[in-house]
Amino acid sequence: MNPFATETLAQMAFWVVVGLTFAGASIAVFPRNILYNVLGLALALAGVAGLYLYLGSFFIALMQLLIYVGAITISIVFAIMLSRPLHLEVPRRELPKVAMGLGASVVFFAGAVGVFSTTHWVPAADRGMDWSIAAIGHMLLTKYDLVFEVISLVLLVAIIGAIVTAGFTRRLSS
Amino acid sequence: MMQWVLFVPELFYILMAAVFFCASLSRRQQPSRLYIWALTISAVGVVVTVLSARQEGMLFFDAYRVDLYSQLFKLLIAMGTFWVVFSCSELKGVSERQHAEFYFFLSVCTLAMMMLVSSVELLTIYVAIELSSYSLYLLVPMRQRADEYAETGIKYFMIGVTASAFMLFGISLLYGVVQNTYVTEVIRILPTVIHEPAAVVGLILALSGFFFKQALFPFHIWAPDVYQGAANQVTTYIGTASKMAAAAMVIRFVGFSNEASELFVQLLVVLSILSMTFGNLVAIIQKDLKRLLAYSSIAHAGYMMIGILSMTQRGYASAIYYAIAYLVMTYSCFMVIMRVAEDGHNLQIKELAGLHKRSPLLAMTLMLGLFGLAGIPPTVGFTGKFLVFAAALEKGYLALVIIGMVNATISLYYYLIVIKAAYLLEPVHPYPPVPVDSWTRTMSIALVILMVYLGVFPDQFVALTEAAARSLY
Repeated sequence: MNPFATETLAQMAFWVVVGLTFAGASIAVFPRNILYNVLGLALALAGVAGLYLYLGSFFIALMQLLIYVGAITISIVFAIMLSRPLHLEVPRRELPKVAMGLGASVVFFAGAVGVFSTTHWVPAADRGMDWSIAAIGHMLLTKYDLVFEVISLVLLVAIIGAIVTAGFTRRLSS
Repeated sequence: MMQWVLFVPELFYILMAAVFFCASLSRRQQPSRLYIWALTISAVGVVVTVLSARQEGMLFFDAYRVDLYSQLFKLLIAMGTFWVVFSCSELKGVSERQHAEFYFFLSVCTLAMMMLVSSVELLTIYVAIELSSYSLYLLVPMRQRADEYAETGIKYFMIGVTASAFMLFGISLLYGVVQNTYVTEVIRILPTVIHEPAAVVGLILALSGFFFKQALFPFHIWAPDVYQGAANQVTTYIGTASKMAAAAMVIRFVGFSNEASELFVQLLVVLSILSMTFGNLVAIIQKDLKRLLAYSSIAHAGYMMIGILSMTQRGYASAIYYAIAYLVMTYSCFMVIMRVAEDGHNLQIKELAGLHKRSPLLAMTLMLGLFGLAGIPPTVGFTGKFLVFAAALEKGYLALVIIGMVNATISLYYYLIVIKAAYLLEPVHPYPPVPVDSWTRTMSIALVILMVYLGVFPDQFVALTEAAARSLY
């Protein structure tokens, strides 16, 4: 294949992945059925995994799939199962609230774009290290050891919290 | 080579969490036994933190720094936790089945905040603040008749995660500009690139996570509802110990810019003024004592900011002193609330009527605490405000100091309303006398002595805070 065709193919793949991410994000926000929202979120997260792949980070793309698309989405589904029944009527969307939400996000987006475009970004010096899985593993067990350990404590608190909170609701509804 | 001795206070609170984790597994819950355990362990915790106060060193590949600054704040956090546990003897606000989990979350949160004040690496800071926030998100809805207060928990959680998102975004911008996550490098590089929009915006957004914890003005919306909706002990914890960690981190992050950005300083001035004025004006119309203290905490975040934004060592030292003062004064007020509202309900100001007859000692503790918060001379609150204002005057912020003083005068009004209720009002229908056991009596007397002693002889404490501020950089 000539290099031009490869380039075009890569570009196309990039835009397809971006499209998928945006489509997933809007499904995650707009439908009123919360299960559709979760599926949309999964799609958006898979799209982000595709972006990582495009940027050449195979490992992070896989982790994104494994952790976000797999684990996080499943835990959200669990949370939905523990919360109020789906057949109940959902409250109507109020126009002022939607407008305010939209306004706030537009302001934030414009601000972010402004900051990004006016800042003079200096590319980081090449660290000259291999970013293989072995290197990441070494980093996790040396430089980022503490964070790595504390995250497990965060998960423990989250699990116990989920048990305590779900115990509440079950007792109330029964 | 790991010098694990430096990590002893944190290890101790990990142990405390493990004890209550095991206790939560048992089928039968005995609240009184759990209380004795919690009280003993947290008292030993204070001793452990005192013993490790003079330690210094770096841990975990320079991501964790133990110095006087961090150890002082760890001591304040440990004190706050001990005081909160002390008042848990009648933990009526929380369902009896959940006492073990309550203490578990309390100890994990304490541990997380201790890690927070020692962390000098942005990722570690972020994970530590999340750990403490998660525990607080879970503690807030832990109240009997939870359905009534469920909204509070959800509101706190939603605002909290929004603040976290802003903070992460800010940290990523900071990383983009500085290209390093270590605080020492950030301090070295950031002032040279502070003219870039991304640097200032990143710093402000990163600070917003701590402003949320501190309830500074635009991030204060949660405070009144959470103070009112959470169980009295949880409110006390949020109002005392968790404020200490937030103050420590705000001081550390504001120091990043090192005065290089005029815009940043001006923004802090505006936030400080808005926070003081808003908090004090809205507090005037409150009927619920906990809500009143919530608005007063918003105002006090503003006062503390006056010291911090001076960005001198003296300013930081005065802010640390103010934090100490705030811890003692707020806890005194909350201890009285927890004693008077023994069944864990929300105390209205009018319920304090005739407190000086029902329990003179508690009435006096409350009065001194409120005088301190208002900044009346013999108490620690006056010295705190004096030091903060002096540090700001040294840098020429005259207008800011005048606004602060006007605010202190406004605040006197609503603190006096509470004191009037406790001392001058006759109860409409007789309230039962407040039982005060000997432990509470001892604690009240200790708090009263502490408030006056810190206020009248502040020299050695000021020297301590100055040494702590020096060790910051």
